[in-house]
Order: sequence, then structure tokens, then C-alpha cells
Amino acid sequence: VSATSRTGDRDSTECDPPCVDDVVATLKLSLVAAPDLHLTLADIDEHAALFEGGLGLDSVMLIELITDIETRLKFEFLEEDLRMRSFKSLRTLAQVIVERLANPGKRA
Amino acid sequence: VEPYVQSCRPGFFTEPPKSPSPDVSDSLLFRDLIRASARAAEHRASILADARHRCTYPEIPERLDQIQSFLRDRAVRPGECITVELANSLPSAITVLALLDAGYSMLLVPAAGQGARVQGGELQAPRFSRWLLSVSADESREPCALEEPTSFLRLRANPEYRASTAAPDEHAPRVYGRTSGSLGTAKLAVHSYSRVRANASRARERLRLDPSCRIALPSPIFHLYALRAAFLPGFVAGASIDFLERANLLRYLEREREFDPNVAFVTPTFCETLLRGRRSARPYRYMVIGGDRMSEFTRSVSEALHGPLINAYGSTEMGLVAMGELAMPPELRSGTVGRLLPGVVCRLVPSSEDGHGTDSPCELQLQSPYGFKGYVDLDGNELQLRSAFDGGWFCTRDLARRAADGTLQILGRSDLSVNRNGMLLPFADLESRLRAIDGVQDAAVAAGENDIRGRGLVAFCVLRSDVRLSAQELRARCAKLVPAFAVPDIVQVLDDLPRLVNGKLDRRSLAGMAQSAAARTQAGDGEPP
Repeated sequence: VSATSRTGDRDSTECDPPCVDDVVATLKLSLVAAPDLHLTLADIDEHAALFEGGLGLDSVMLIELITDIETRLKFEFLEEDLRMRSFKSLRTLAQVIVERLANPGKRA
Repeated sequence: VEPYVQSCRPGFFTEPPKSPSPDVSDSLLFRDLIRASARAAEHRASILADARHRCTYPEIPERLDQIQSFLRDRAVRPGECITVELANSLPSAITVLALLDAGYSMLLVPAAGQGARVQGGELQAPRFSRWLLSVSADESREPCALEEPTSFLRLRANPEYRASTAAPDEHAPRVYGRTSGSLGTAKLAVHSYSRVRANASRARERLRLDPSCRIALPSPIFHLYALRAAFLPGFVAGASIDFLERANLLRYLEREREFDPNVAFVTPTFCETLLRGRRSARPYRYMVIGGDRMSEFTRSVSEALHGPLINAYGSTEMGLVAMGELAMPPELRSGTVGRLLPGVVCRLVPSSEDGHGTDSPCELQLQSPYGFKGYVDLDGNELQLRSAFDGGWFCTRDLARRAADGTLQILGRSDLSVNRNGMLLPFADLESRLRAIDGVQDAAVAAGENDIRGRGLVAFCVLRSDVRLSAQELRARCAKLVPAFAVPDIVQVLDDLPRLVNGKLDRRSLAGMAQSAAARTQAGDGEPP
């Protein structure tokens, strides 16, 4: 039960623009903060699948992750980023995000 | 169709006399419908599909024959009950059609890993079900060969099987539905083929489904909503249908680009999910919303991006009961569940004895030609649940209002209420007031600890993502909107309300959360009373 909304600590990224490793770290923090997942940093393999057979995100957790990382990294996914391929693993997702941060409006 | 009231009396398993022709039994009811739709010339270009499979309408009869001979070869006889583990996939959909076409009795349940098993417990097949049939749901495998039923069907004899005198017979096959009630006792709602068929036809007419419709179906067909309001009506109408397995935002958007749907059947929760990923408008002919009520905010954003919303109302027991239609004025269409389907009658019974005047919400009670025949337990024995009926009327426990034009508005649940200072306060009332507070996206109320005034009251609010409000501020705003007896003792802000996998509010979790919140407050470390 969380009594607060997303006002928790925002992590600051190391470099600007952030590199893939920084984004992976941010994604891990976001997953650890997710109330329903009960994950610790040590549990999270950045190469594991995000959904069935991996970290086990369901439909609602996915939305929470998207909203949370957009808030943390202050950007918005384009609709075409929102495909299973981009969310294959945390590392893949981090690569998509780094690309998007560099080209906020550009189509992939 | 026999009158519904009659079937509520003891002995409802005795089927009414059949029509004069002895050849026409319930078991053939779907056969003509399914075969005719598959063969209709104007359905020739339509398809059934999922992310990995597709099948044109003209191919369907052969697929049905192949599944039926798979079953015949294994000595499964029409009329026997099969518990079918399904995914929301094309092989599953074709299997359901094949079973209906051949006249099997069936209970449709989610396959393992489909995320919708009954929470907190393993699924139990009814002991009167002779067979367990599972349709492959393994996405990592190669697509199945639809013409090879062995590539996607696994049949086992039910090890728990016990013959039951109350079991269905060959001439009166049934469709069983697992009730979503959270009370824990396993009970199944019994439906006859004739009622399921009639219900699907009425849904098709109401929605004006036709071969030009391309239906996106992220709601799983093991739920009676998707089966009776979407899949069967759509199939009978010759629509193209895309089944989405393990629906989430990413999978939906991918399939949307591929399949290009113009109609979708979704739950309010899934609609909200879609909206969080939408970056621009994607108009549909209409979207049908089944399930809980949706917040005003979500509704208006969805209409702006997706186009018209049509609300559907029904239950596992009563099937589809009411539905809006495209031709209604927009505010009626999105704000009500439309009119009752033809043949359904309702009455509204004041929910409290002391009467809060004519405006007080009433409980909706129904008689329906599409309703269930009764409940059975896992042995197939009839369950007499007196509380489910009031003199032949099915008690929905939903609070509703009916306008002069016949449109129905569902306000909330009638059995969720507290008595405070001698006043009955339906949660639905307080919840709608809370939702009216600017910045509140959704709200739910649960009973906390007993206190001097009666049951303590805890409100849970979800704020719009751009809004920051403390629990104290929320409580203060609420106090301005409702009389003192209705002000919640505790307000908590949540990221999301707990929901069951079917998208409905998880009232039991809320009650637990309310109890612990109240206990914390009493211990002196929570919000002010």
C-alpha cells in the first residue's frame, strides 16, 4: 500500500545526455519502486524479458513503468516506440530511450 | 423461449417441451447459425485472426470438421461436458465454435499463465465434467497448424470425474459460467444454448455489426462478456475479428497497426491503458465498454481520441442485459448503458427501508429471456441461492436509475454501504462525490473499524497525474461536498485502486486496506481522525 504518489526521490543521471548504462540504472530504480513487483536491485537482470517468463510485468505494471520513466527522464515515448520489440529487455529499452532523448521528435 | 421466471423454480433442469419437430433439439441450435455465417457469400472476405494465425470464413467449416473428428476419434460424445482451457487466440476461438457447432456442454476457463485464474486459488474443474481440453497458449512456440488439431489441442480425461444425474444431456447442452463473486464458494451459472444464441443475436442487432466491421478483441473470450457481446455476435454478423492474447498496451498498438480495427470491445481499465499510450487520435467507428463504470475524465479523453463509446451492461448470470447504440445522443450514449435488450424486464427496488425520497438509488432486479437457468456446484447439483432472487426477479445488487426514455444508468453496488449515525450511506454515492472533486481521477470507499458513530469510513483516491493534493486537503474538500455523517474518517491517496484481473474493483483488498489504515490511525500514527 503506497500512501504517496510519485513524489519520491528522483535519481539524477550522471551524464547529459544520459548513456545506456545510466538509463538502465534508472529503469532498475523504477522497477524497484513499483509497489506490486516486490523486486530488489539484485533481482533484476537487465537482459531478462520484461513480461512473461522474465520480470513478470503485467499490463498495469507496464503502464506504471512507462509513466514513471517518462517522469524520471522528462521525455515522452512516441507511439511507434511502444512495441514489444522495444521492451524486449531493460537494456534494449534503455537503447530506445537514449535514442529518443537524442531525437525527441524524430521517427525511428 | 420459455419465460425466465419459470426456470427459477425448483426443477429447472427439466427442459420445457421441445418444439413439435422431434429433430430440433438445443444441440443443433448453433450448427445452422455457425455454418451459415461461415458459408455466406457476403462474409467471404472476412477473417478471424490473432497475432500469429489467420483463417478466412470459407475455411472455417473444414477447421470445425477437423476439430470435431479429433474429439470423435477420442470417444468424446456430444452432450458431454468439457472444461476448456483457453487463451484469447484464434485456435481457441475456432475450438469454441467447433464445440458449439457439435453441441458439447462446456465451461471455458483461462489457460495457465493467461493471468486470469481465480485469484488465490488453483482452478478446479467441475467433477461432472468428463473431459479437460487445453488449447495451446505457448507463444514462444511456432504458430499452430490450424488444420492439424493435434498441434494445438490436448485432451485428458478428468481424473476427478464423477457421473452426475444432474449432468447435462445430449439434447440440452449448456454453457457454464464461473461467477466473478468474491465470496469463495465455487458456483457455476448454467446457460442453455438457446439463450446464449438469442443473446448474441440481440447484441448483433443493437450494435449493427456487419461484414465491414473489423473488431479488436483484447478482452478474453473465456469471459462471458467477450463471448456473448463480442465474439459470437461478431461472428454471426460476418465481421473480421482479431483476438489479442495477453493484452497489454504494446501488443494492442502493434496489432492495431497490422489489423486496422474499426470496432473494439474493451474494459474500462484497458481503455485507460490505451489512453496512456496514445499520442494522437485514432478514431474507431465505436468502442464498446463492458465492466465497471468509467470516470468522466477517461470517458471524454477516450471519445476525443477514439470516437464514440457504447456502454454494455450484463453479468455472468444474466448475460448481456443492456447496451447503448450509436444513434443515441452523445451524452446519453456515453453516460448510460442504453436501453434493455428486447425481452428483458427490470424493476427498481428502493435499497433502504427508511426511504431518502424519490431520488434515492434503487436496486436493479431483472427477468431476462437470456438469463441463466440457475447455479450448480462442482458436482453438478443445483444450488438454491435464495439471496440471488426476490420472487422470481434476479437481484443484481447494482444500484440503477432509469430515465423516462428507458435508458439505464448504473450507479454502483447496492450491498456496499455503511450505516453511520443511523443513516445509510451507499459507497456508490460517496464515490461519485469524490470523483467530482477536481483532480480526482478515481475513488473507492471501504468500511474501516467500528467506531462510536457506526462503521468507520475510509476513502481511497487516485489523482490525475498532473495533480498534487494531500490526503488532508482531499478530506477538507470532501467535507464541503457532503453532509458531516458522510465525510470519510480517513482519506488515502493511491497510485491505483486495487483491481481483480477482470478489471473490477477488488473490494476485498480495499476492505483489508481500510481495516489496517483504521488500525494505524487508532494507534496514533496515521492521519487525524
